[in-house]
Amino acid sequence: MWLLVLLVLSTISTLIHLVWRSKSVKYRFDRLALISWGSTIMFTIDAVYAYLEGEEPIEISVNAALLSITLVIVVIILWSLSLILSRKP
Amino acid sequence: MCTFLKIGVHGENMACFITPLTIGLILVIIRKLWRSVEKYRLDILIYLMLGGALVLAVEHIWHGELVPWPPFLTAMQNPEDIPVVINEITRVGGTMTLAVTGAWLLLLGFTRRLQVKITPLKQLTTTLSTKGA
Repeated sequence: MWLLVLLVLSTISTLIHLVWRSKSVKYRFDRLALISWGSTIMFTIDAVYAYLEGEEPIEISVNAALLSITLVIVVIILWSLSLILSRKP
Repeated sequence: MCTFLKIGVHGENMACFITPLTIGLILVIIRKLWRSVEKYRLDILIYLMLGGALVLAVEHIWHGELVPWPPFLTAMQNPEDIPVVINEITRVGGTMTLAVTGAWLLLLGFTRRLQVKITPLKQLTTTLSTKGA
């Protein structure tokens, strides 16, 4: 489930970056898109290996939903950290 | 999740994020040491690699496969399982690293093509406006 949520986040952040170019310069939505795409690619590989092993690649449960929300928050935290760290004094 | 290679291991066995995390950190060092590599847009690869690996690490913490005390990976508690963990790091982690690098190369190629298409248009506009003046 978190793979699908991350895929949606990646698509939305990419669209935001492309549509609001002027705001993206300040808020660096490109970084948000890159972080979310990086995690989406990695979780996709993980799901493929899980599928090859005969396991369910996408789990749908309350626990999976909570993990999905947590991962979205983590992506946003990482993006915020990149903004704070790259801020010039 | 990294459900791959759970065979023969007691409990969970997850370590696939280590490869992209290590590669990402090496890339950060390379970017700091050699400024000339900037033209290859290593920053994009670093964000893809480190971002993905850190999010994956959080998922591992959620599933109890990564703990804050040594040996950090629960799968490493049994010495017999170490070869299996190493196998996972190289196979699953290696595939992840290659996939992310492939995405970066695609993005780099697409951006270069776009730049080539845009550049002649700029030159044409400049020539026309100079003649008009």
